[in-house]
Amino acid sequence: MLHSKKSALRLLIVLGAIAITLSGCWKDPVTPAPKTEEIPVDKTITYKGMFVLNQGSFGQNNASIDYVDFASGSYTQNIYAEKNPNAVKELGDTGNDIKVHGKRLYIAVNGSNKVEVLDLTGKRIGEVDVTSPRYLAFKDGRGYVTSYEGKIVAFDTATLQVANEVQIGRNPEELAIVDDVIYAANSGGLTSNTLGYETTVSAVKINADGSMNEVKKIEVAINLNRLRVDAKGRMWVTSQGDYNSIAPKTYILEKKGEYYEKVKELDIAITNIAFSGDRALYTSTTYGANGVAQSSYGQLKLDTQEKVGDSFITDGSESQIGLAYGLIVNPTNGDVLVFDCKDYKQNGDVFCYGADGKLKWKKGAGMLPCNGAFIQ
Amino acid sequence: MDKRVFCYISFGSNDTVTLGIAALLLLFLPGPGTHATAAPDTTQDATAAYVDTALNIGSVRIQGSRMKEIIAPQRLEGEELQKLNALSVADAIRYFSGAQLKDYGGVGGLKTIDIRSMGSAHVGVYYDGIQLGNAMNGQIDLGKFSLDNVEVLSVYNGQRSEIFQGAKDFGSGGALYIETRRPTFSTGKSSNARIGAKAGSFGLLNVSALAEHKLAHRLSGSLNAEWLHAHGRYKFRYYRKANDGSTAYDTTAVRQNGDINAVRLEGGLFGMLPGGNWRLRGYHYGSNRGLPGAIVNNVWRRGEKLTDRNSFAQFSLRTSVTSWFRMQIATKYAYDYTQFVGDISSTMQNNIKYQQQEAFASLANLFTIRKWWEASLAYDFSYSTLLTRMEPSGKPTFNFPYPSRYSHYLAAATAVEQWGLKLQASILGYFILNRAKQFRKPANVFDYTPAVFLSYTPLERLGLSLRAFWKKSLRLPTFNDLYYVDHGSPQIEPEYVTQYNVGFDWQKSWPTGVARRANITCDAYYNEVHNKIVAYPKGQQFRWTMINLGFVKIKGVDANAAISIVPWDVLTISTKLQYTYQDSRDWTNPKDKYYGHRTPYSAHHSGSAIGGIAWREWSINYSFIYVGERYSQQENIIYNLVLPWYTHDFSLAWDGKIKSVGLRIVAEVNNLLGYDYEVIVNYPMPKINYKFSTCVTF
Repeated sequence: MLHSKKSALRLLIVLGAIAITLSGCWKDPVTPAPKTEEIPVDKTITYKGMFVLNQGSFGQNNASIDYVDFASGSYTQNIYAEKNPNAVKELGDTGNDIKVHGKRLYIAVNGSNKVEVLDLTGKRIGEVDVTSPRYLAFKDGRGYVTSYEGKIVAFDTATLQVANEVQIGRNPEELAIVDDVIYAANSGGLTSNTLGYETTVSAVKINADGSMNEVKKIEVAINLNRLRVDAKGRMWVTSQGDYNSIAPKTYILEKKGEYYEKVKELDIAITNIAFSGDRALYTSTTYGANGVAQSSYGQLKLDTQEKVGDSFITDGSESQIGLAYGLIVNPTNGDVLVFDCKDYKQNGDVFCYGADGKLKWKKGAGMLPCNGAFIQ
Repeated sequence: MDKRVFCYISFGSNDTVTLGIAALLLLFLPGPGTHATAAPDTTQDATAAYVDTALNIGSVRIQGSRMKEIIAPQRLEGEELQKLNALSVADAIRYFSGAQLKDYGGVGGLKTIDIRSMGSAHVGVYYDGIQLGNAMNGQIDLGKFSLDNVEVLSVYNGQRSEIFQGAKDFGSGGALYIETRRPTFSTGKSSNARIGAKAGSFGLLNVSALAEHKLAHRLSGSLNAEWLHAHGRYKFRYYRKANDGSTAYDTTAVRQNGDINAVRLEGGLFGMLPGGNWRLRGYHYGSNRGLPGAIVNNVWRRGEKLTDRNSFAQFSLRTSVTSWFRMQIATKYAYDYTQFVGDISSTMQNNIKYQQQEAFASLANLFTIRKWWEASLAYDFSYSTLLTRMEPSGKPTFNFPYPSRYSHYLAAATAVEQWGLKLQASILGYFILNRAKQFRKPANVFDYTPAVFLSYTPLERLGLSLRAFWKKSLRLPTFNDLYYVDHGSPQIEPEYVTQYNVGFDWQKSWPTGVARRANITCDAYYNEVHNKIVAYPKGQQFRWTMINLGFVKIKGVDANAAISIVPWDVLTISTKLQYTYQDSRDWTNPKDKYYGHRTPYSAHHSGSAIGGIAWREWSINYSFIYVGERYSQQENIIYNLVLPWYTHDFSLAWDGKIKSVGLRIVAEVNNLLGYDYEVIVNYPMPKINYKFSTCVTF
């Protein structure tokens, strides 16, 4: 078979040819094009559109944004890389919050240690470097962002420079600004193993000169997460429990004197919350015996916090939702948007429900859709 | 008893075991077919006899010898292994078909092995015949195991298919056996020494020394020390093209925080017994390293540090009690210490120590019932614990359960060999008792897994044998799976794998002519992974829990071909090709978008080619490694696509003698064309890099 020099040589030539051929087909990475699909046009919506933030999986650098164009009726997936081809490593790792303020879009990108600043078409303006940012709020030309480093960082929206910061509790989550006081929910979630959970809402005063100081720690419950103020000035704060013996609950805080105080405990586990008219819509995540998460849906009267009906979804289509990971309401027509992250291992879906609780449309999103922001 | 039976035999390296047993059989089973000519002369040094006999065994099959493993493993050994110039065991794994290396890049980056996509936790890694453990996460970082003192690497699908072995050896879904060097002395010598040094890219400096001495007639010892240092910096590049071919971005940066400083110390005593041998080994590895972490947008440098101390002492003994009864005893104590220090600015707890201890004992018994029929019974016991502490306070972490595990393994096996047919059947029983000082105690595990191995050699002179196996195996949840932070999942169960394999092995050698040796093996397999343990997030804060969810089917083909040709007397050309086809798909839930999609990081095609030309003292070696398209996530969409990569590595070596001193000098260039690639997404691999090494033996 190979007992001649000629055939041996032939073998070597063949092997060499294979190696050279393989070397010639090195593939360069190419920016994937966005994908656009149609959605029904709804004339009742006066907003131009909505950005959807897909969180991406931790450490994967695959946070992305989608754009929903209400006027033309289209859903476009993954627009960032196309709008910003020169942004090295795209939007980044683990997007957490998205907010429109003025003529700009701000995105807290947790794993990329930045607040990304875009114009309303999705083109990049700049960024603010903040370690492990979580949630955003704005007031008087300043952005405020909670950082898992246990602080609130204030930045100038004109210069995109960090103005100052204030130390609060460990691993703070959502924040809200009422008059000149910032309220931020401390979780202690990342350090619970060694230091236990936090149990307070920090009240931080914004002084006339722009400096901040923590004026009060309001005792609420362990491992706080959501913190929202409704139209009547009531503050809703959710506790995630300890994933063990302490159950998740929801708390109502009201202004007593200068600051808010806990006035009511609701025995309801709320994972996501959104206000719609005189109601608070919510989703709850519960874990089955096998450890798999499931969502349930409900609504409460804003004033009395009593349950209304069973679910804000009325057509039974919640069975299509894997796990509700985000919830927002379109204020112009009461549409409810549920962001479904499935099992955290695949691209999610966006479900749009009418105010009547019937599914209007459903579109594929990116990895872990978690939040959205409307463009007027 | 005749002196000539005392030859150095090892526990894991099967050829030499066979050899030792063959020597035994000269006494116990005299008769036609035992190649008495291979027996050492009584006047000769026993170890020299070993060397002599080893030369013969390549082409001679000893009839009536103790049954060898039924399916030969893929093996890299001796010179072949040396030619790869690999620094660690991990680098050599890339040349085994069916084995995937998960490489996070750099000298200090984590490197783990996966065989046939079953998952790293299904691969048992054995060091001199005793399994390396990591009760915490089940992961063995092969980057920590130096090739400096390694003689043979064997990769087995299923299990090592011989029956005279410890009970745990029957348990793995796939196995990697690392066999270190045993002292052998050429005639008239009673000591050996070797000093080696390497230097190269990434600030690599590596010095090693080995001393072996014959302490008594039946006793020898060895000492081996190694130091490795690297700053770990290397240039890497990220670029993207737009659809029109223009450059979207193109940036080159330097990998940071990849420094490593490691020391390895090993000592061994090797003794011979009438009809057997024993080995005592002490091992210590200590390292301090930076964890370079994932490169993501806006984060190009991380500051996490890891300190490791892995120490173990192990003893093993194998002896013939009677002509029909052989026994093997093995025992081990291991202490592992890991300290993780996070970034200064880290939001997580950033200074935690982990301590693991494992005590292990094993007894295996082999009964020769007939010349063609053997049976074995083995019992292994292991006890492992894990402790975590916060630094600098030294306090245990919150909610820490203080887990421990008592594991009992009982294996029974039998093997028959007749008319070219070899059959082996084994069953392994698991009796796992979990303990936790506080909180929920995970359930105990009582289970069993069977395996059947078969091979048929129709005609000895054809050099062809056909083989097949069927095996069930399980992997136990690790301490991390069960107790991860405070969201433990004590309810999780073992993960199961069923493997089916058919294949053939053809090998031939010719004493003269251009072609001297040729070998082709090919196996097709089908695996099912049930009850797969997968990480599952809990809450919104990067908290994970483990669940039994997942059903994966894997189909594949592993093929190897090797040939060495000698066109002119002074010139030898050898090539080795390896190809892997794999189709691993998730069939867990039809509702998932990834239902039926290929599992993360499983490439359809991968392979390697090694070519070497040797001319007198000089040799040139070339190696090519290719890994095809794969996906970084469950869902097979363009956003998760990871592009194929390949590398070309070259080396030039001079290996000769100056007077009585052996000298080897090697210069190598790796990733010659400077390709930019990733094995794991966001962990960039180095571009072109160099290494020079020299080694002196006397």
